Amino acid sequence: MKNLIISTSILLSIILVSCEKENFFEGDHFFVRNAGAEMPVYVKGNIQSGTFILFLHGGPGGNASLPSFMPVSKELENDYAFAYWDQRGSGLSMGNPDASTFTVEQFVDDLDLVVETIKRRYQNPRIVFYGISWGGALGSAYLSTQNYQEKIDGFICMDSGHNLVEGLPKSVVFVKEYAQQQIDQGIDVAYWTEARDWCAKVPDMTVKENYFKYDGYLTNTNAYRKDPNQEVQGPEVGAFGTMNSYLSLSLFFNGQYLVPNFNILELNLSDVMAKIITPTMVIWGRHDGVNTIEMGYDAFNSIGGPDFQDKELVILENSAHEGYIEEQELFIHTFRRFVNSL
Amino acid sequence: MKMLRLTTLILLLGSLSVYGQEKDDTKSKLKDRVAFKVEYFGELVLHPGMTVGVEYTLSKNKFITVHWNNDLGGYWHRWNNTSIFLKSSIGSRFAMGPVFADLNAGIGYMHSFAAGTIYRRASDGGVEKAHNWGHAHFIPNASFLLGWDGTRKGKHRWTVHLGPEIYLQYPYNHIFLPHVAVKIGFTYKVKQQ
Repeated sequence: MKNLIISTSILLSIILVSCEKENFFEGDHFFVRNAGAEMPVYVKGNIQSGTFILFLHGGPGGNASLPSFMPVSKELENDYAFAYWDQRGSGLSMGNPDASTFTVEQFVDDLDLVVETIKRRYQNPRIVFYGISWGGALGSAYLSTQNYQEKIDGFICMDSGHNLVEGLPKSVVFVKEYAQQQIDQGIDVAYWTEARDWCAKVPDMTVKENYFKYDGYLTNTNAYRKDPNQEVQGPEVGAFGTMNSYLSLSLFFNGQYLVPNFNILELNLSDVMAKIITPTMVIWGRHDGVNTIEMGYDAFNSIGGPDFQDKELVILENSAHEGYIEEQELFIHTFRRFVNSL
Repeated sequence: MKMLRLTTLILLLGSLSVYGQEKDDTKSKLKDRVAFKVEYFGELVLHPGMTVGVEYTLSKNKFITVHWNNDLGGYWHRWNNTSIFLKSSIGSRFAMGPVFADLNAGIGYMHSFAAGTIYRRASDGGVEKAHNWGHAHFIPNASFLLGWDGTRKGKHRWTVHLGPEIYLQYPYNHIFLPHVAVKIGFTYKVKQQ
């Protein structure tokens, strides 16, 4: 009997603890279903502000769910509502979409469904895109499509991969130069010599195998963070929070099918971005090795064409690809200034 | 998958050894073999769920019991999904006095529903709410349970158990999505042994 009481107590404790979840998510959520995918959208922050920041995550194959727990997001959620959408085949997204749906056009259509749903559910709020890396490219593709940009009030385009045809070779050069620096310093010489020599062959970066090889080298550079040892404020959700929120193990496993089946290596949106006349802030890390600063200038120059004035370029001088945490205070200040000016 | 294969092998060997020793048990009555169970099923530990099931003893000797389990249950992962499942598994229970370790492997069907309103494109190009029909999944599973068997002392009809279960959800974006759950449960034997 004693054992029964102990077991029952443990059981009840777990059930009670699992019911106290409010600290890990206060907000609203819904799903959008499109072409085989069921994609969650988590809305946090100041919904009453009437301004929705629609976060477009990177990848393809990244997620918005985990960044929703970052302090930089929480800070900005004091001012605006943030909508965190996990794209098809990514993050917490469900369903079983066919590989044939992994096209930029389909992602744009998904995004339009998210936009329309936000407008319906929250009575036509202002919507500002905040796209990082692939998310910046997706935002650019959306705003260049039909008259979709009429639905959007602003665009924050950060370190975007809008033109990989020109951008990837520049990133390969970044890897090559980084490799040479490592060799000069006598660090892991054999590995970096192999990397440097491979990059020196100027591989065709529209070939998937070349991309994945390059990506293996890239992740070992400081392409993402200028100082990899810098202390930054990542997502504040530990194991308990993961077990006690909307997060799930799919964050770590989803994308396995999408990534090899969604080929954006020939993506080049620079020309069509001339159609964009949505107020835009292009924000870039000076030391970004993934999408190098030259591509930042390209994004700025491409958006709206040379005569378009309602755009600005902000360069984060001490950042690489993750300026939102590398120069968090400056990023927050710049973000607020732009959104409040709309 | 390697773990799953290993578990299956252990279960098979356990079953064969017990089958060889307990042929006489084939004539035992149904109520001697049947037990009912109820479990807390915590997907990723804290997403609450419950299962009810029937356990049928296939064969047993002093140390090993081979049993067949059929469980109906579900869990609620708030803001993410609600799932119901029906599982069938074979287990080998290794006893040392009243304490036992239980290795189980099985297959099942799971139906998961998005935990929230779903929107889709309407025929007029706008947006409308969609029915939530959910998604069908195949779920191979394995569990390792530790427990205490009250029937071993002949005083009680119940056992308690606790342990992890892993299961794979397929299809989920064309992958086998792994899950971990903790199970805490009671089993009630129809007839005191």
